[in-house]
Amino acid sequence: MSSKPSHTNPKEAGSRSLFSTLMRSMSASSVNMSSHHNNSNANRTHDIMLKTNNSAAAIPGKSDSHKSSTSNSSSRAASTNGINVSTSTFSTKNSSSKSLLHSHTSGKHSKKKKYEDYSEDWSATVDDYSVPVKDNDFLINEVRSSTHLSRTDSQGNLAKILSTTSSTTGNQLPKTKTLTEDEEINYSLERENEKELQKLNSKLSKISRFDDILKTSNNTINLSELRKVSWNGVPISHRPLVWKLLIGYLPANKRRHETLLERKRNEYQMGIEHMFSGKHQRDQSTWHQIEIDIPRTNPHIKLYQFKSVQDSLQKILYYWAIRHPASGYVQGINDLVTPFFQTFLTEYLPEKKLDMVEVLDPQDYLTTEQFVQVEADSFWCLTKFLDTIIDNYIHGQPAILKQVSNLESLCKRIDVDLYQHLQNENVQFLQFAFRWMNCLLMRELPMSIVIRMWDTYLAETSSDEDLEDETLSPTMESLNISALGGNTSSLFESSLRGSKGQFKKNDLTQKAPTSTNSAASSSMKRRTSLSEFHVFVCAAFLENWANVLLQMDFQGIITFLQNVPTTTWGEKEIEILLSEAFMWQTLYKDATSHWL
Amino acid sequence: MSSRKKNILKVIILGDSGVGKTSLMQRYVNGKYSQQYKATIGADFLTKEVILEEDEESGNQGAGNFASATAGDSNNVKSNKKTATLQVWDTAGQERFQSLGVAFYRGADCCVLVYDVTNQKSFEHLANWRDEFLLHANISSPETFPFIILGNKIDVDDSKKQVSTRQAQEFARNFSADVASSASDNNSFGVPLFFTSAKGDLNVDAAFQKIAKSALQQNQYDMENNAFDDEEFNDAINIHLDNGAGSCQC
Repeated sequence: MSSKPSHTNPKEAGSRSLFSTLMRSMSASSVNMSSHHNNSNANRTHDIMLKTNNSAAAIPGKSDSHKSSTSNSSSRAASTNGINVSTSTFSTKNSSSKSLLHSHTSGKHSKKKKYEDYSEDWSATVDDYSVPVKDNDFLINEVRSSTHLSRTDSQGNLAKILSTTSSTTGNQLPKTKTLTEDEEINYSLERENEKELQKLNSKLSKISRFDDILKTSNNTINLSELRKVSWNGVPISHRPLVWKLLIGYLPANKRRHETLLERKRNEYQMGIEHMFSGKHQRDQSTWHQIEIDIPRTNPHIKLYQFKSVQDSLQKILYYWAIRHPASGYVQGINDLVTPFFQTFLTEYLPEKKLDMVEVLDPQDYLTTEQFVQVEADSFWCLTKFLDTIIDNYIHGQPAILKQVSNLESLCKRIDVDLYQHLQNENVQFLQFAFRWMNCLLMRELPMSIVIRMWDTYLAETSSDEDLEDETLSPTMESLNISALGGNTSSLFESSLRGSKGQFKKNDLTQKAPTSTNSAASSSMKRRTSLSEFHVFVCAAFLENWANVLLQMDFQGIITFLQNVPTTTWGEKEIEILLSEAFMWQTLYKDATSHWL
Repeated sequence: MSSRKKNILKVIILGDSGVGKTSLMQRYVNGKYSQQYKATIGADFLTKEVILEEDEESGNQGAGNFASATAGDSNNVKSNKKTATLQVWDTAGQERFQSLGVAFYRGADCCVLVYDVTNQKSFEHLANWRDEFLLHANISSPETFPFIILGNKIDVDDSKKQVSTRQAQEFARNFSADVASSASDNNSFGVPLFFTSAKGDLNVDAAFQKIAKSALQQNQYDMENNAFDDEEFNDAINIHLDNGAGSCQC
């Protein structure tokens, strides 16, 4: 167990694993977070202090000072005080060290290499960070379970895990290494049952948490609460309403929902009627482009083969295109509308058939009026969604090029070996990552995973306040972001708090004493931009395959990245990815704020 | 150096959205056809190992080939078998994606232009695609760079066809006229033209055999050209190809 300097250079190999170490533990913690909602000992905290030396993380100045057209980038750049040392604090309830064990078990097969990295580096680095431990009971359990786990490992690993745990817990650790084998077996059975039970419980409690928030007797839905719980996934039954709230289509005030929906749906329908009346001169090339893309939209999902659905999507896309002449219709937008459409269909399906939305013809269960409602809601939410990433689709697609170059910088920082390998093989990031940005990874992931991912995307990027003023244009919103821009610590804090719901106030009071929730939200509308968070998700996605990619040449790499094997992915995989992305965003926020 | 030995040939496929670029590629590489391809975003990457029989008369690329292109090219006596890997970039057709060109066009050995015989516009846009390519690909001698034209979807009913064979042949014959005009004393030459159907598996293999051959020639020409430090070699193509095929300078 060697100790390393606390101010590590991210470019050093050692610290690379430090980041991945923390990443692992955070990732798993979010996965398991739901189960901890049941935990009565909610006050236990386990803090990990992490210091990054930002001077090492500063972006190597790209000589081409490419002026980004995203309005918030320049002002953020201006307000970041160059290079400084920042302190990041992560706080989770119990879960960070407990989840460590989960990642041991789960990661053993799929990510063996990373797991090894993990246990080695943990012991090497953790001494340098203050780890206040406030609960001995909890830690005893920790040791028990790690003893249990290590039975299948070699003696060496056993020792390693034990020493890892003791290093985490320091001197307060009671000696419990002498459990008998019987006890261990019993314990393991107990644990199995407990796990199953927890799983069910967490699912139920999740639903009831959403019920509590949405069906509040109060007229105003607590959006910040909603965002917190949504980050970790929204139950399918609640998703239509939750998405509409998160994206700002529906206001927090429940009493306004009905009239607003009615007005918006009418507005849409009148727009469509106008579009198909003689008064509208059809843009033939746009119409043609959409027409040939519709049958090519999710061709493997039955839902999108129904004529009723295709007609509906065609109307939505064409209407959107003529209302947004600066970008017009761009291929890929046809993909982006489908998660909304599919989700809003479920609103009209009985509970038992929710899972069948991808195979049923909506015409068979929707009235004409309901069909228009789904269409209108999809249209407005797509509009809201695209407003934030419109620079992806205007001429020259500047925001996509920027994101790809950000991904490259990020990769260089996160995994310099991978970056170097891609360089050596002459792989350009644009060659594989363009599509990742243009379609928000929808081409890389199965639909169910995309929808789960969007729970987090919408939660992560949703406005802090109910946008009372509906006329607020997207440009106004982005101006608000840039107006705040400078206060990185409150940006940092609000993203931590909002996303994880595990934020512990004291940790940042020194740094940002005035950053109360209201202060943060009054000065900014959108906490994280979608393009920004998405780059971190892409980085996590790329890094996920690093071990495979390092063995490949140019041809292999490009072929692999064009057909990434995600067909078997479930919620767990995407949640790990999202948590990693969140971790990186938190770690690199200061360093990256001027290029995002 | 290693890429020379492995004969990696880079091919770019361009053309309007929906003309069948992806379908042609899938037919050629995987031997299958499906209605279920998603619209290409950016560019797809496909590879195929090819065996090329290099015949003596193949040096003068393109000249007059458009008329006899469908006949196949196996009438050689002296053949010299070569293996190569085709790396094909199947690009997105929508105009908005053209800003991407640079990342994919550079270093290309052959450019395939595809139009849809049932879509007049897609035919008219071929010249734009060619110019776009030449603008971004940084080709050393645009006059001799191998293009190949594919008129796809010939399986459909004649009544739906909008581009006549003669129209297409004329375009192919005069293809390089604009490009070559910069080099005043250079005669324009035609480019190969194939009528294909990815759905009906018509002419796809023949077309790609020709594509691979042209790419190989261009690849070798480029290598030799670079060796001679960028002089003008407008009339020297044959010479280099004849002795360059077997003997690599490495």
